[in-house]
Amino acid sequence: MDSLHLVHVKILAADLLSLTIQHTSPPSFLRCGRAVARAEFVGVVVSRERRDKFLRFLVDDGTGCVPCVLWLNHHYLNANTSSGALDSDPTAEMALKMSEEVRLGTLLRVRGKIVMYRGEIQIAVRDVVLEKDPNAEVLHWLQCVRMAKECYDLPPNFAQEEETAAEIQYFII
Amino acid sequence: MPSSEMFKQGAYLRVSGQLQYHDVDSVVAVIQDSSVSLKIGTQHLREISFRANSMYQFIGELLIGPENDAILQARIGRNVDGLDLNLY
Repeated sequence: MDSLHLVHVKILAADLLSLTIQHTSPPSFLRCGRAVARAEFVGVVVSRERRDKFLRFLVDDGTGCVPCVLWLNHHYLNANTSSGALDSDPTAEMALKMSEEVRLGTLLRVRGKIVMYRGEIQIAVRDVVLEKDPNAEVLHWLQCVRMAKECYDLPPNFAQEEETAAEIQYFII
Repeated sequence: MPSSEMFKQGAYLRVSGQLQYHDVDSVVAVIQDSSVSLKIGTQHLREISFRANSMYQFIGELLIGPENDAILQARIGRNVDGLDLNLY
């Protein structure tokens, strides 16, 4: 089984927003034929909209703008059985603290689940980290290129063979 | 007139450069990269302090005047001192 859907893939906005959407229920997303469910990207906050239950913001990483939503209402998170609240989802307190980091012009590293909203891809934020070093964005670009070349863009069969070989090696040892 | 395809009215751009000066009255800053300078409209910016000779990055829309004089109306600005420009 392809494990790529279990990790936060390092990705550029342009690639994230052009993922292939499979209209399953819930929707799923493919990158070069491989399912991805979570993403990590780095960019500048260019818009911010705060409501009672959520914070909506836009992150510009130089290749595109990623719409993000950070849910602030913990009761709402638990009640949303279709997405399923996990232990890894932020608590209300954590979410409030993260929302304070989201200010216009700040450089952020955002990780979250890839979801659909009104026909558009957006990120349901799991965590947000303020990046104080401006080189963090450039480093992320380089990591995206490297990971795509060495891992993400490998054909699914090749990736599975690599994983199978690794598992066989584990049992032999 | 600049030959870049990005030099067009309303283009959404991100620019980086060294701050030459910031005029509080006209709310215009000028940044420079090598021998090229660009005016930045700063009236929409909040929580940013301007220091001459520091590196800044601005995101906004390009406004081109009748004489091809351009100003970037910034929505976002941030200090990027320490940014490795060669790597960038």
